[in-house]
Amino acid sequence: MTESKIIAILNIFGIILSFFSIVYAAGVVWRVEKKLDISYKLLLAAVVAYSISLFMEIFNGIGSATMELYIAITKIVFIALFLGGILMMRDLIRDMDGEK
Amino acid sequence: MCYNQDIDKGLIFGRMTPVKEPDFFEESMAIKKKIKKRRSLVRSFARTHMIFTLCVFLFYVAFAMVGNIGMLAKDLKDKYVWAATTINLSVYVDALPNQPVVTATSGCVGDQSVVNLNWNNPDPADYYDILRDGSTLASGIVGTTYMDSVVSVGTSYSYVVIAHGALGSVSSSPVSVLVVVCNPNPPLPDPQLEITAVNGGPIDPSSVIKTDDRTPRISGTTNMPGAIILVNIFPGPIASSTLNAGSNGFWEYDVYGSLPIGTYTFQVTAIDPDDSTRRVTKIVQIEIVESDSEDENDACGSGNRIVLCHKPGTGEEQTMTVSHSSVGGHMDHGDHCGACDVVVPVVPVVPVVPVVPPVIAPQTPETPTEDSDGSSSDGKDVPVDILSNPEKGLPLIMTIEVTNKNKFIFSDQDILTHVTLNWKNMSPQKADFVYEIIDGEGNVVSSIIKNDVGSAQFFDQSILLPENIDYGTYTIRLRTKIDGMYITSQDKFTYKETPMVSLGGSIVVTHSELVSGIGWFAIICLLLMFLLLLVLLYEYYLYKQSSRNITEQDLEDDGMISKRKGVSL
Repeated sequence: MTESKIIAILNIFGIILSFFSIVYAAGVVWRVEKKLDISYKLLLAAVVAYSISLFMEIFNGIGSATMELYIAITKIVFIALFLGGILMMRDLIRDMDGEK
Repeated sequence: MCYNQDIDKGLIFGRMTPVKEPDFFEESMAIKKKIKKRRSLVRSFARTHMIFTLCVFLFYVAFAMVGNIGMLAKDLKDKYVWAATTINLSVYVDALPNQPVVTATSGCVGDQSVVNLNWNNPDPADYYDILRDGSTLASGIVGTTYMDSVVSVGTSYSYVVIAHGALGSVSSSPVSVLVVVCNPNPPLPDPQLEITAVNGGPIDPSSVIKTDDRTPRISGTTNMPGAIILVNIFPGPIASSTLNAGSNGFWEYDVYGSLPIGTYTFQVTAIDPDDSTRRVTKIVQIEIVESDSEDENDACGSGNRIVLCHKPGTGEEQTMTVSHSSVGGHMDHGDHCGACDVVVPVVPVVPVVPVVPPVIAPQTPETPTEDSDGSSSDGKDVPVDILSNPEKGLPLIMTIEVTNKNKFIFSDQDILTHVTLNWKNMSPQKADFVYEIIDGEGNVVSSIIKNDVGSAQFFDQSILLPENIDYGTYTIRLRTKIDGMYITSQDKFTYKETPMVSLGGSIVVTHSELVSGIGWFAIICLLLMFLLLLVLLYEYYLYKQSSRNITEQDLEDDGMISKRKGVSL
């Protein structure tokens, strides 16, 4: 039971932190443009996908298999968008460094 | 775009004009910078303080939500009471047993990890029950110690001891203990089985237990989690049943129907579900005696739960479970004992009983029988070869398993069952199978008959729960009759309200819990949303400020550009 409570508290904090991530990622998107803007937009979309998967997990109290499928899909979407954001940032830094 | 271009230009200008000429303007700028730095320190301290306070508040609220929705209010109230005054309240309840104070320690027996429980005994209770993580671990304990050997290393368990006395029961405070590692690769222990209680009371398995309850409930423990428990009732065997022990090894068996007066031997075998060669058998003898208040209501037995067929032969025929006191009334208008699909025997097998309960009665004479090895048994004992092989005398071993996840049935869900038929000493044959849903008090709340099945090795069945039944733990029992022997199997499941929110682990919030705590839920959600809105607005404000008020003065302050001659800032 103690473990369950710890898991529940961690899940609640995960949701709160993901909300803050959305807000601050949106703040960066407002400020920058071009490649950095696209990169942060991808990261923002990734965080949104992650938040959606967290919500679906929370509201899947009965352990529906269909819901678990959607959760798996949103997690894949999250990691794909996150990878896209990281690659875009990598390209930007390589351009600044003058790499070819 | 202008903003970014300005910064770019500023960076370029900053790099290209490193030489600075000190004058009165730069001195004033230096003073301004100092003031700005102090202000930024104060701001950062205030911001850190605000974030820290907010985190502590959120943790407090989240912890209260998870632990108990009323915990927050109680905590605040307690703090207020503590600040105001101190109240000592003592309540004495006469004749209730003392609250057990439990100590739980993790230890080792050889390579096996165990948890040792001890509790105080200043005024001994009649007997004790032990709960582990809310489920019954053992019942009918007379002493004040218990060793839980069915534990997983590295797992934390919570134990509660319930003391039963003459006027009631008292529970101890829960005690948690983490199981330590004794051996990284422990060998499997020898299988153990204990029959600890009959009808909830402690027993001495070596002596004959007397009871006037014709549907006795037997319970015990085994050290094999989830073991298959096979119960045969002798002489005969007249009945055979399978059930599953819980994950903590606890099992509980309810006799199907009513037993006539006489002495019966219950042979209980625990079989490891992963290795059928790991098994252990124990027997206990129970004598059903005549009740002191035997009257016409005892025609179908003297237990509290009587199964009878209501209005047989009519369109309203149905199997009912009624209270003992109402049996006489039912018998007067033509009902008969036992379920509707069971034919009432014409000749009572045990002559001392006025009407033999038809549900379960010896089909073999109680005279001594010859076993296959020539040894004699007196009819009340279990034959020697059956003891060594409990499945030998049975035509069928039948098991039913509830396959819903964690054996939880939520509202509007069907019970999914998987039935396995293991025919012994005979070819598969068709028979009628009856599913019964039994509540915690032993009442049959639903009964479904499936005709002419059984030729298959296994089959699945979806069963709809009746509407408007209470949430709680139920037993699903499957029974059939083969060669005059009643074969039953049972499994437990929990009927629960559909959870709306799962916070992780096993913590769920149901619809009714959500509605009852809607005030707290709404306040916390609104607080969080308001907080996020503030943060979002602040972020947007910062963004707008930065794009609106950037001047050459600011760029110069940040060292991005140098002062241009002839331009007033």
